[in-house]
Amino acid sequence: MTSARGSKKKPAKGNTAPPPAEWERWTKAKGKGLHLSDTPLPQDGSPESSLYHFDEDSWNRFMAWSLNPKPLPIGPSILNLSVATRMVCLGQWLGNEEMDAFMFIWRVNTTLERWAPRRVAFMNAMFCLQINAAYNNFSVDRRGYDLPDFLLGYGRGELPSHGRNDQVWGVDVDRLYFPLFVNGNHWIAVCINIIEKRVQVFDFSRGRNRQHVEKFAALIPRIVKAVAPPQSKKQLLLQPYSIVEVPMKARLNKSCCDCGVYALKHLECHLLGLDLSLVDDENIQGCRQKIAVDLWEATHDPIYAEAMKQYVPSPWERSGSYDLED
Amino acid sequence: MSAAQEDDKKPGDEGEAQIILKVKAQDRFEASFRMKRSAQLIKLMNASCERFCVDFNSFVFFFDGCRLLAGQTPDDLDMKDGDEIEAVLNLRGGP
Repeated sequence: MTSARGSKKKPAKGNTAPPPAEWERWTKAKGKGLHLSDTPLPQDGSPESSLYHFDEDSWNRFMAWSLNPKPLPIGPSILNLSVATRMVCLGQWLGNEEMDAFMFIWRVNTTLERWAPRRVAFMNAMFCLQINAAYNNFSVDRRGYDLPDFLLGYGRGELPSHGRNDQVWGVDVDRLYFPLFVNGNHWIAVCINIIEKRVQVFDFSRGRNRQHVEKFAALIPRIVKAVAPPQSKKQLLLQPYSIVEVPMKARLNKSCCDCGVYALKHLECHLLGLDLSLVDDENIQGCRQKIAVDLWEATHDPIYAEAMKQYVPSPWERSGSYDLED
Repeated sequence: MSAAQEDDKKPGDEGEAQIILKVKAQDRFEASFRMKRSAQLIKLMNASCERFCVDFNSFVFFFDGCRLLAGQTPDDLDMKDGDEIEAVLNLRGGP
């Protein structure tokens, strides 16, 4: 289990986050400048309201916890004050703990059919780092390359182990979703459509991070083929998937701090069939707080508690002892 | 890193004290490593990254809540057999 620590590799603006006592609930009226519409914040359970609306009771319960923040486990992560501060406060950068926690929640939602998306899987930060390292070996000798066994563990749904459902890519799963960390400071969102052999990239940097996505486009088809049933292996090609930059509004993230929030919300929009343009700088602070409240509520939801109780470690995660003196 | 199983291996062929340390990483990836008490921990850090199949520098390592430095040794930190080191991903993104 990973615990979040207060130290940051690259703090956005030093440690300037206000303490919980100064956190205020975002409302549309608090946005700066003129609004293009005077429509009220949707609170009617409509799909778009799900992106940034939360009721006052939820916020109050979250705030009561934040004033006395006992660490709460959620899948592979722990919700503590550091994580909550990163999610709620303007100018804070999101980290892998909260990203992985959301991938766990969505994994459980899918397995238990708690939401509409079906035949989807969610990867974590570790998977992305492992693909990156595997690609380095692959690029040296493409023809002679053998996939490491643990990557097949992902392909068979044995990894990530928190919320694992043992669903096989290309057989039970059509699409993979994950936030991808690039360039040491930036989150983008990725959806890999196994059926359409396409990698969709949600990134307002517009193509500047293509080289990071190419690694997935090259290796995922190999994993899909390796875990496919014998009768369908022959029809599967090793050709890299095509990469598609998903168009989005220009000049998003003027704060230069919200890319992680955009990555999570863009994944959510794609999963729920919502227009990406529903998320913008005007409501991104509402999205931040919604993410925090959702995560806090998940830590109190017996469904996720049960999923954590039933955790079964994957054999890929355990290894023997190694002698460094040989 | 040698990946040979060494459960039955006797420590201290050269008479120098050795230690077994456990490294736990994200999503419960874990592995144990035997090393000399006087060897620099960078050896263990590199081996952990290799074992967990990620690039070097992917993790930040902590022992007893303090960040490990590459040049430190188990002796420096008064580590004991079976002590646990936490390998933490520290990915923060904003712009």
